[in-house]
Amino acid sequence: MADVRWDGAEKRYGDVRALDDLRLEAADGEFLVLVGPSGSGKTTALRLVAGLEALTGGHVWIGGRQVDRLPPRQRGIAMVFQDYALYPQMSVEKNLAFGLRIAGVPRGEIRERIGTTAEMLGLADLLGRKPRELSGGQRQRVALGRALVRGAGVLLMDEPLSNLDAQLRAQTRIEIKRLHEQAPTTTVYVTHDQVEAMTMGDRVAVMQGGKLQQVADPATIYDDPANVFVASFIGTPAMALNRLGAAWGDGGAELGANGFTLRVPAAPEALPADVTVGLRPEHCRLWRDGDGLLGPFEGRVESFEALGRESFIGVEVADGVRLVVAAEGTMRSRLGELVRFGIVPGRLHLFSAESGLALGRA
Amino acid sequence: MTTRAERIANYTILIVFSLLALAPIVGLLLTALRPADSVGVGFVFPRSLHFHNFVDAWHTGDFGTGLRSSAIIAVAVVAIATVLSILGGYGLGTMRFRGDSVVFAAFLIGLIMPFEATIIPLYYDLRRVQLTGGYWGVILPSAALSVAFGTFWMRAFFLATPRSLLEAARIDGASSLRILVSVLLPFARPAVLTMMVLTFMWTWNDFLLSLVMLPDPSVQTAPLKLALFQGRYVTDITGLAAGALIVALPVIVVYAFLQRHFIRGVLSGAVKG
Repeated sequence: MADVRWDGAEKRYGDVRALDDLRLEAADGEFLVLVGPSGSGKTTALRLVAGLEALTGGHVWIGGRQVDRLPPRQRGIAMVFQDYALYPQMSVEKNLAFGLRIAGVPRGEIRERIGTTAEMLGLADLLGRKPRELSGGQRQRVALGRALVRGAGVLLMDEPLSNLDAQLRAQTRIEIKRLHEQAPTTTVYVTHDQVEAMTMGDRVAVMQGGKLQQVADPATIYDDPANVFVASFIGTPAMALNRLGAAWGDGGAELGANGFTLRVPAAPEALPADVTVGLRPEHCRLWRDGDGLLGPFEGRVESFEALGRESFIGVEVADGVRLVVAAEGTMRSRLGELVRFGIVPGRLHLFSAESGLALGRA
Repeated sequence: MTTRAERIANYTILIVFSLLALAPIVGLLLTALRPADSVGVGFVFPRSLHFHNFVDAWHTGDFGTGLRSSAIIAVAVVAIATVLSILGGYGLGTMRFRGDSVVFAAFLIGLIMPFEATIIPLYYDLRRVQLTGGYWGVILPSAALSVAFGTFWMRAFFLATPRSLLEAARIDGASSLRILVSVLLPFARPAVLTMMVLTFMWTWNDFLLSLVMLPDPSVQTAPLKLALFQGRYVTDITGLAAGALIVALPVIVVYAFLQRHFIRGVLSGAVKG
């Protein structure tokens, strides 16, 4: 087992910075998820650890050893690829054995380790098959098995579930998490799927444009996003973000624009004149009898999505100020209709309109 | 869905082209089987079939020696060119190194330059190092020419293999050579076999290089032996036809054995992209 540390790691392709001064650590046994849109540098960060790309600056440490110039095989890592990359002409058993044979593991031990891994992943009946004779889910498990059987200290996964259908993905997500809990190997997991990030990671590192935006446990990422990007990227439907003017008034701060005004009793002290205000749908509810909500406010329905368990209503409360209101069950609204809603106090996220950095909640 | 008319049109075109391809061979066969002293060539069915013409041609043309020389040269060229092309294509197709595009361009020159243009300087160069007159005088230039094509061919194949496959093997600890031998080559069999068939065919059918490099009849290749049927004033048409068939037979046999792989190899670039 080993920890992984990016120490100012940088990767440039000509003038393009794919990864910019990454400082991040995955502790021994931790499940760290790198999440971000495409081009955010998450896969580059992973490949630098694997040794599949060369650093153009900074260092990478694995288990207290600087590995900048070591070839992949000397780094004590195993990797699961997005397209599985199984050796097409080898049987499942040979795919699993390949790395062990190269490492010079004795035959008996190879057989034993393959047996244990195959048992754990339900591959025992498939050992004689070639990859082309397997379903997508089975291939995925073989790819996982090939990484696990080596018993490497660090497990790297590059979007391993993105080629599976939704149901299988949910199932495999739980499976991988369970395996990690049974044998906590340091895992760096790259995904663009925020559900995977939130459900699997001990900690989540959100990346964008080659830069680390925030790293924290999933709850913190969700409840206290460090900047506008993290706030908008994590959460479905996305957090509603509006640029409003801010000023201190009698008994609290006043946030507003174009005739819409929100009075909040408590707000961060250093309040600039312009703020970006974020509000998640679940903190913006239909008005019944108050329930301690701020409000009521009124908005015109612009869109709605009924998902069965809950519904999301997109409303415009003033010119250019839009929020998403959550309602329980299936809620049918007509477009253009006026709805009344309230806001959960303390759940407004305030960001500097200039830098996008979080100021605090109100 | 293809309509009946389309299907008929398809088959008509295929039949016409098959006939065009087969006609010379059938003409050759009919000529080879006619009586040795008869005049005229072409598609006249002979009154009696003279299979003995092949025996006569074998002796006149000294094909025992010719085929042996051809086989030695072709096998050596295929072996050398295959190994070097695979290694060259692997390097150029999967590795990035300083000057790789220059190296690749140098290989392409071998493909683009008309061989006839180099034959005279080549002769003098090889004579200086005493390589003319023996097998190596043909084997080395032929192998070099085939490597130009083979490297180009194998590079295209290796470029098309998924990069993650190589990376997975690297992470599994395999060396570059191990990746090539254990992971890529089993997968590359159709491409390699196609290259081998083409190299074999080109080497076997070569006339000019052997003519220049091999003046000694004891090492001359089979195609050169066909010249023995052509005197200054007369040409033994029947013998020449029989000899030509003897020379062509090994290529046909090799192709027939490997045609399934050959077609797969030729198509692999086209279909999968």
